[in-house]
Amino acid sequence: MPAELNLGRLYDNHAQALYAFLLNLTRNEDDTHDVLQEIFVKLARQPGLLDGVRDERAFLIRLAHNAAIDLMRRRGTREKRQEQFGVEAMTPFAPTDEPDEQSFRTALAEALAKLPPDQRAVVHLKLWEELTFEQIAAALEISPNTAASRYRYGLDKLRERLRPLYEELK
Amino acid sequence: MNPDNFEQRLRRQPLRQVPSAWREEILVAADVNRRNAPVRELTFAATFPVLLWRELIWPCRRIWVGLAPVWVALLVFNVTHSERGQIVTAESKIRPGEMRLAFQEQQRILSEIIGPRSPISPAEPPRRPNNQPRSERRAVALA
Repeated sequence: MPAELNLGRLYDNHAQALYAFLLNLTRNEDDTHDVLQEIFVKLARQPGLLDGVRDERAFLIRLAHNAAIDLMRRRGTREKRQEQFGVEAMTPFAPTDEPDEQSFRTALAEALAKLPPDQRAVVHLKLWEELTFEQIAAALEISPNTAASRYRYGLDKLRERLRPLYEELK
Repeated sequence: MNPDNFEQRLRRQPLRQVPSAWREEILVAADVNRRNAPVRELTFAATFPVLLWRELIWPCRRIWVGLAPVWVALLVFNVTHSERGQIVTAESKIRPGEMRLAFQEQQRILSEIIGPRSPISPAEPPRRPNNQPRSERRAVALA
């Protein structure tokens, strides 16, 4: 019989990280809400899911990643329509009043959106979750070498796309 | 552009905060589902087909649908081909009398070529092991 699962504690410890990660993947706040709720509903329905899990954060990120990928596949058509009609995607970065900083964040969000989802996931976990490649590999069920190469490719693309703005703001 | 500076610059970008109202919404939804969840523990046999469907079939459903006509075509081909094979086998059966005559003819030709068979000599019985001590055996041989 699994121990009583404290969902409130899990939410307080991990929801912020999952929210930012999911928002970076989906670029849609409603989708992010749906996936986050789906994860907690799943945990509530299957309390034994976390039994024997050593790294809760990595496990929850894996759940979030799989759910987000499924959602993006299901809603592929809708995303194309959004792109077609120029529906503004939600940026994962906090807004700021400082114009230069805001333009950099907007450009960074756009550059991230152009990365393939697998590279975007690794870049996010490395830069903003500060996970090691081993932790990222465990969370995304890939090898550490794959995680490292995805990070390198992703970062190179970001650097290339943000170079003019970065040089200007430096 | 120094890569370390660039990475540091990216790391410093603050992420959007999760809306505070979500906590209650999500935890209430989870709690409702927990209460409505079936108490019975599902066995592996019960969950396996669902797992198979969710993990293997559903994500690649277009591929599976694309492969289905190929499988049906292979099945039809296999069924029709195996029926024809049975017919051919049935037609090619030789009557037992003809086979016996052919065998006797073959035996006759063989005996003409290699001569009549020598009678089979009975096999020698196995030698019984000599359990005598080696010193006694030498004495017997010298006598």
